[in-house]
Amino acid sequence: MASISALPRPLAWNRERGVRLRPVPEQAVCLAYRPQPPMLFGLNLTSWLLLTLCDGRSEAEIGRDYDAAVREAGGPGSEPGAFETALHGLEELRLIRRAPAADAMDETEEGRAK
Amino acid sequence: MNPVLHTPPKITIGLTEACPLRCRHCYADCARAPKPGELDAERWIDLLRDLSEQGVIQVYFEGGEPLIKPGLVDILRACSQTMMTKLRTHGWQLDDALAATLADAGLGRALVDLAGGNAATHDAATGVTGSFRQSCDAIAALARHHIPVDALVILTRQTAPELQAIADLAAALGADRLGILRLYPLGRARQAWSDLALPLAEQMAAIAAIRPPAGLGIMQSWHPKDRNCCWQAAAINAFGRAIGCMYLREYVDFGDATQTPYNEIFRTNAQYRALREGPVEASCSDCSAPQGRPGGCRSTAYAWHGRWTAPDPFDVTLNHGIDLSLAPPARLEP
Repeated sequence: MASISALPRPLAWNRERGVRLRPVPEQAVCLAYRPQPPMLFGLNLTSWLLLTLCDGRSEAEIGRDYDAAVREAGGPGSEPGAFETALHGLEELRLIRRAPAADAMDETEEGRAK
Repeated sequence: MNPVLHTPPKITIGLTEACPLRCRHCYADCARAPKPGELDAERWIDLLRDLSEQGVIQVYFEGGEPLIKPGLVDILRACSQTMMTKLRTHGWQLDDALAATLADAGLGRALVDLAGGNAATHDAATGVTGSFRQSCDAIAALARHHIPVDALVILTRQTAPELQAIADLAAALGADRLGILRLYPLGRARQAWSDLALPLAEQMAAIAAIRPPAGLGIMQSWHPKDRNCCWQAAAINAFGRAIGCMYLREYVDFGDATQTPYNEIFRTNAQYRALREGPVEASCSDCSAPQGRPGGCRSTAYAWHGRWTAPDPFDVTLNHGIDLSLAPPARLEP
């Protein structure tokens, strides 16, 4: 019988350390600064929404909250595969990183305490 | 029409008007020593921290020569925690050790001026023998330390025949973009205008003839890319004055950014608001950036016509017979 610690842990997503968001609602974009290595990105509404959801939630939670927000807004991002594409894109830009869900929550709490 | 932005996400900082070079095309009348009243590093760090807290997320440093500003590395290190940093330089004494220091301080991109495709042209323009070698060495050192680099060239009578050589050189040294900039009638450039400036047709021909080497992007601001950037303009000169854009340096003064929060100046100064609202008498539909404002550069429009709403003479569709090889009339009052 496998021990509990050997069971696969749910995957979660966090923002990379130091990433700063600067919404520009006048233009429906959000600028995202990644300090290591330094780069400034312009995010569309879909990526902006997704990045704000990457706060230690599990991928399943992010997907659920993303779908709810997109459905409510009725705008772009609801087409098939949009969620996965945007999530993969943010990872490629090194704006988010994977972490086991429990660790991710710990880091989120640590971040909030600062 | 209202301004596009309520607060500026990006800002340009003219760190100093000191420079070891004596460029004929200098816009700031730079001298070797700092001018009285320039802010020191400590004040810049405080001011830039405030700007970050006000929402600025990108800072573009220029001069003068920012590399000779005492405390530059401390300023960069403080800014790069929360803001993308860019640095325009002639590459003065920028060797591998300094490139490593800049990388460690978090510099996001460097922009290095070339004033020619060879030492003879470049050094004649800067007035300093050996400055071409320094600029080239700087681009190579920055690239070796993985700092993305733009090479910049101001289009003049002297650089136009060498644009292809400059593009090839920039790519060979490791730059990923070449920015071709127009000559502005400011500072010493205005005094040497007839020796430096080309008619618009010759400027357009020089740009059209460039064949970018593989891997090198070309940026230019002539038709069909002549944009009115004022909608997002934010800049502070070496003395802490809010001037919107460094190319407006001789024409406007929106207030003291060391005493008044920049966002308040941005929101309340009537002249600044009017520029960002962007009303123009004529515009080129090909050149109107969808997220910006039409009509082309307001600095050159004002320089030649004396009206902020005037056509930009650097756009072939708006030039209306103005000979850009002749200096514009003097403007006595901001």
